[in-house]
Order: sequence, then structure tokens, then C-alpha cells
Amino acid sequence: MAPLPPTRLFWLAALGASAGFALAAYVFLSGPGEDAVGAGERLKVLAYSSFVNSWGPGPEIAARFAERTGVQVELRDAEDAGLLLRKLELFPADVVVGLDQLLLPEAKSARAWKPLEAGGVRFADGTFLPFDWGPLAFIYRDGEIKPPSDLDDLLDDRFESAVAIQDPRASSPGLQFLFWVLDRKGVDAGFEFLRALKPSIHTLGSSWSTTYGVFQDGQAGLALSYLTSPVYHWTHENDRRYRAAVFAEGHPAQVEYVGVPETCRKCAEAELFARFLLEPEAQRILMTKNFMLPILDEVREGTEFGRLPAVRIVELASLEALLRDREALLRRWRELGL
Amino acid sequence: MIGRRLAFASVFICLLSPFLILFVRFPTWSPPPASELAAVFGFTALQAALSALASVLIGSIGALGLMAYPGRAWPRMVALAPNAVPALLVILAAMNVWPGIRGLAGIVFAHVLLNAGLVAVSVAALLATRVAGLADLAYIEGATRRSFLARGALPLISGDLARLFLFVFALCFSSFAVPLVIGGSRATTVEVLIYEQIRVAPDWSAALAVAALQTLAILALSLLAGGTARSPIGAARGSPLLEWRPGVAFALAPAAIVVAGLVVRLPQGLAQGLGPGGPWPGFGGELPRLLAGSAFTATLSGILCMAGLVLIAFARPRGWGRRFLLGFVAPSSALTGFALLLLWRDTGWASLVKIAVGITLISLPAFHRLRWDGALDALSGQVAVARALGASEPRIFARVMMPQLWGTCAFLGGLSAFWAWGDFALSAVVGERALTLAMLAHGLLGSYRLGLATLVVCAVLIGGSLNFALFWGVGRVFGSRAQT
Repeated sequence: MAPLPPTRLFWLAALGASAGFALAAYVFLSGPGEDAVGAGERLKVLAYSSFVNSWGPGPEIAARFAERTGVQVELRDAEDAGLLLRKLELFPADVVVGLDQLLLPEAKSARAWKPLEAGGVRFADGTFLPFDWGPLAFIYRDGEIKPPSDLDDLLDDRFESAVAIQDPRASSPGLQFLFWVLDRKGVDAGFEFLRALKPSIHTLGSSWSTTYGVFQDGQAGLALSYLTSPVYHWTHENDRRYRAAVFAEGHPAQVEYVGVPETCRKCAEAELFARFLLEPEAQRILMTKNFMLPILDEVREGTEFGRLPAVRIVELASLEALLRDREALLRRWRELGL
Repeated sequence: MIGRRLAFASVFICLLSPFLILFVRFPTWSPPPASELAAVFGFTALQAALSALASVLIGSIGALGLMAYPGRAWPRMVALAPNAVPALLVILAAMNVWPGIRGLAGIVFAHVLLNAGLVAVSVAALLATRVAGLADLAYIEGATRRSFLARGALPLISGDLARLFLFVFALCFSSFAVPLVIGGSRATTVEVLIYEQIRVAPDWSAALAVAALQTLAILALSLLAGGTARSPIGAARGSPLLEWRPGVAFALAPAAIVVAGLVVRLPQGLAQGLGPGGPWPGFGGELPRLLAGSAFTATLSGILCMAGLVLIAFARPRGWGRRFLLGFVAPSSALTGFALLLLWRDTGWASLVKIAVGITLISLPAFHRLRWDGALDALSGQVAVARALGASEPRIFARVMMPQLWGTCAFLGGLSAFWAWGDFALSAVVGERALTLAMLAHGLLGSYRLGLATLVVCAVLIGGSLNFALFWGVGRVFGSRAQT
């Protein structure tokens, strides 16, 4: 076989070298972190992306926990909360962070969990510990649109093609919104309300980031998000136009929980970590990096979170039935043609 | 002969491996009710067909514009840009141009923004390698551009255009975010249904059944599409009859709309990254690692894609094997990702390899349909002559086929690398943390930082373009052998 001409040799070498160099750089830049402590020694924590990301609360909480207890934590990304249980089937973890109240029934039926007594903490479940929460709210920019005062107000002409909400088939806040409407108005009347809402809807997003992105871009005037969302704009963009619309009828809350699967390998450390999330030090990190309210109310005093409007929290009385009928309700949602 | 069969068997098993792995884990597959499936498949097919038709029409005009810039990589790279951008940013760009965009027309518009540039680049490559020689002759004979395109070029590449249509159709058939965001709640595509079954139900048996039906539907369509055209293959070149400078607007306008949408957010991105409380201190140190992760994943994906294409070229499948390769589509990103996780659970840099393998499994059948089958088919006459003259199969492969195929092979490898730079759908399932720049951008979008995510996406586009250029260079150097 004839030898390759130098030009071709150069290009082939460039291709191979770029792959090899990139891999070497990746391994070198990953540092010794993962291997400093043996894989079996680390506490494995499975969480959603915005907890695990370097700017999220996970890395700092893990570092503080290691300082306090000497237990090294390995954070694993499950992408979003909806995939936590799917990933847990493949990657056994000692701690699962980020299940919300809509996922708890499925989590309990899918596997056994160590009971975590919360001792009178708000939103306590008995099996899972709540670590942060946020009332669902519509966010607007002051001066741009007159905010809605309740759900029915969203049908007003001034919101024509102005509202960005999430699709409940793909997004947890979207499902919360659907259940909020159906619980508040009853199933049939709720779907009638949603049908009437159609002219107001600007975007039905596949995720929170899509709808909030559309809102941030100025395309939509109102976005379904959390009461706490304006704090990001106040503190990081120095933009105080962002506000949450307060509904007199109240707001449902999304509560995030931490759990320890029965299959944990380092169960004592796992429980320690779960309880550590409820300590003021971790609560402060969660509040400022997750932009959610802490479970311990005193943590938000003197911060921008303390300046958020007070809202009445409503419990969804028919949540159990709604969760049971979820598939049928989503089918009806699809037929609405929003 | 045995070697060729073994090569085909290995490609066949690799492509089917996600289904096989998931079948071992979840042996029972039960589809949702037929009425629901019919509605979902009907809408999915309609939006995909209209999107593919519009993309091929606009992209073909754009190709004449790209032909006016022979040998220049930059217009082609710009045209490809929307394919490596998160869907949200394309959707925002579409909304900027067409406020209030909704429904079927909106879906088609956004899909054209995404795919017209890719079609333009592909058709330009087709014209340059297959039609340019004939166009020179027609030019000398005094043919007009219009008559040559209608009577000369179109019949010659109609089979390739049909394959291109099928390629874009398959892409739009598996579209997720665009129909959901722009189409509304009735715009349920097959991918949305699969996603629902995994996340909401959760029902793996239904998700897998829908994915298998999706693959069978595309397979059936490709069988119905029938045979392919045979046309000469040669070195890339331009020709006056194939060049129409204003057409470049059709190739670059979609990218320009998307890129303009990115550029206007750059100041906001810088402010978000470097401003008070910005995440820069947190992930600034991570950027080199993520850059290296993207570069490795993309380059490996391109190399694996090229290896797969070479294996297919060696196998030269005929009959049902060829029809299978023309019609096969990989299961969705989520299912392919979970299959890889089931097979191999190592983390760290092994996750990067899994992502590259996953992207190859998804892109290989698409690229085979896009260009590779046509390129192989064009050589069948030469192969038959070489065989009649007594040449051995390995010699035919090494001396007749590959020298003429390197250019196309490297081009498709480059496309795979470009896609890999922008992928986060499969990476997010496979990765145990942020491993690439695209995953970082996705994470930033999920934490209020739209501007900063845009900044990272610009880095993704630059990295993807450089990687594509590397493969392009390989293709030009190796492809030049066909001229000698």
C-alpha cells in the first residue's frame, strides 16, 4: 500500500490529534475531584440540573456539608425533576433531591424510602423532608401591563395574546397550573375556563425555561413562574420592574422535597445530608441560588426575599383525585386546542 | 462476500441496539389507543411534510446562491448555524420576525428556519459534484439557466431531492419543542407522545411501542418513495448555469434571522455573566473543561460517523438491507440515551464517549439517507466494470470507491460533529453533570440567564464551525484524489 502524501497525513493527524487533545484536556481539567475519594466512599446525591450546576446551590452545600461532617458528596444530574425517578432506576443514589408534591405519590409507589421525620416543619410529609418552596404566580413588568387580580381576570381583553404558560404534559409548573384551575373551579368548569383562556395565551411552552425565556425576551407580557422570580431580576439585573401578580383567591405552592431511598448504601450520612438542607446555612444558599423560599421563615428576613408580597397559600383539596385521573385529564387538555 | 455481510450485520446490529437493549429491559410493548395514535401520527406527518417541502424548495434556491461562492466554507457554515442552536433561540428568532406566530403555519416557518440552510448546503454539494460538468456543456451549447435547471439538472438530481425531502421529513417528524411551543396543545407530535409516556404516565411499554411505530412509519414511507437516481459523481466544481448570486439570500436568511437574534442579546449576556452576583465565578473556571468536552464529543462523533459510513460503503447493501438503511430512524434522543445508560453506566469521560456514540446512532441513518446512499449508487456502474475486469472486492473498495467517497464521507462526518456541538437532548439524559457547552447553555436557560446562554451558544457555533471546517479540510484533501 502506497504511503499517504504529507498533506493527507497532516489532515488525518489534525483530526486524530484534536480528538486526543480534547480528551486529554477534559481529563486534566476535570481534576482529581472525583477520584480523590474512592467512588464507594462518596455520598451519591441525585438532583435536577439547576441544583447540580456550578452556579446552583448543590456544589456549595456539598462543600459545606463535607467541611462539617467530612463526608464527600458526589452530585449527579438527572436533568429535570420529572426524570429523577427514571434516572434513579439506572443510577442508585443515597439521596434524591428535588421531588415535588406531584411526584411524591409516584415515588412512594415505585420504591421504598427511609422515613424522615421533620418534627413540625411546614409541608412535612413523614417520608420526605421539604427543603424549599415557592408559590406559583404570574410575573409581569411594572408599567407594561396592568397585572391580573385573580384567575378570571386572565380572560380580560388586556391580556389578549400576552400570557406564557407551560404545557402540563411536559412541565411540572404547567401541571400545577392545570391542577390549580381544575381544583379551584371543578373539572368541567375548569376546562371551560381553559378554553376561554385561549385568546389570552401567547405561548404554551414545553418547559419553564421556554416560557420564561419568551417572557424575558419581551414577547409575552405575563409568564407563569414563581412568586420569587422577581428577586433574580432585582438582585442580578438591578431591574425592579419585575413583579408577581397577587391573587386574592390565593396561590398554590410548589414544594421541593429530599428523600433517602431504602436501597441507600450510606444511609446514616444520607439522612445527615437531608437534614443538613434544613439548617439555616444551607437554607440561605438554597434561597439565594435556587430563587425559592426557604422552609425556615427567619432565613429570608432582611433579604430581598423578605420584600416579596405576602400571599395566601391554597391547598389543592382534590389533588389526590386529580393525580389519579392525570392521564385522562391530559387527554382532555390536548383536545382543548390551546 | 462474507466480509461484506459481516460489515452490514455489524451496522444493522449497532443501529438497532437501542431498541434491542430497551427490549431486553422492557419486553412488553403496548401502544396507546389507536384513535389517539392516528391523530398524533396524522398531525406529525402533515407538519413534517409541509415543513420538508418548504425547506427543500427554499433550500434549493439557496443552493444556487451558494454555488456562486465555490470553494468558500464560510457561507456554508453560516447556513448550517441554526442546526446547532437550541430550539428555544430559533423559536424566539421566529417570533421576532413573525410576532404572534402560531399554528401549523408557524411550525412550518420555524422548521424552515432550522432546515433550509442545511438543505441549501446539501443541494449545493449535489450540484457541484453531479451536475456541474453537464452544466458547462449546456452553457457552451447556449442553454439558458432556467431551461437547464428544469430539463437537465432537475431530472438528474430528482432522486436525491426526494431523499433530501425524506431526510428533512424525518427530522421534522421527530420534532419536539417547535410544535409544542408554536403549535399549541393540539400540536401533539410523536416525540411529545413519547416524552409524555416516559415522564407523565410513566409507561415505558407505550413509549417504546410509539418509538417503534415511528421507525416503521418512516421505513414504510421510504419504501413507498421507491428507487434512487443514478448520476455521475466527480470533483466539486462550479458552473455559470448553476450560480445565481441573489439566491444566497435564501440560504443565509434563516441563519441571519437566528444569528441576529443571538447578537442582540450579547450585551445582556455579558452583563449577566460579569455583573454583580453573576455566575461567572462559578462556571468561568469550568469553561475550558466544557469546551474540551464539546470538542472531544463532536470530533469523536464525526469520526464514528465516518467509520459507520465507510463500513456501509464496504458492505454495499442491496435489496432489503438497502431499503432498511434508507428508511431507518433511530428512536428519540431520550430513548437512545436511556438505552446507552442501561448498557454502560460508567461516568466521567466515558459519558462523553456515550454521547458521541448516541449522536452517531441517531445521525448515521439520517446522513446515509441524505447523501451516502446516492453517492454509493452513483458508483455502482464503476464497481460492476471493475468486477467484470476481475478486481477483488477489497481492491474495488480501496481503489475505486473510497477515493471518490472521501469528500462526501468527511462532509457528513463534519455535519455530525456540528450537530454534536449543539446537542443537549441526548447529552442531558446520558450525562451525570454538565459535560459540554451545549449542556451549560441549556442549564443557563433554565435559571433565568437567557442572555448568558446566548453567549455560550455563540461559542458553540464557533466551535462547531471550526470542527466542521476540520472535517471539510479532510474531505477536500482526500476527495481531491478523484481529480488525479
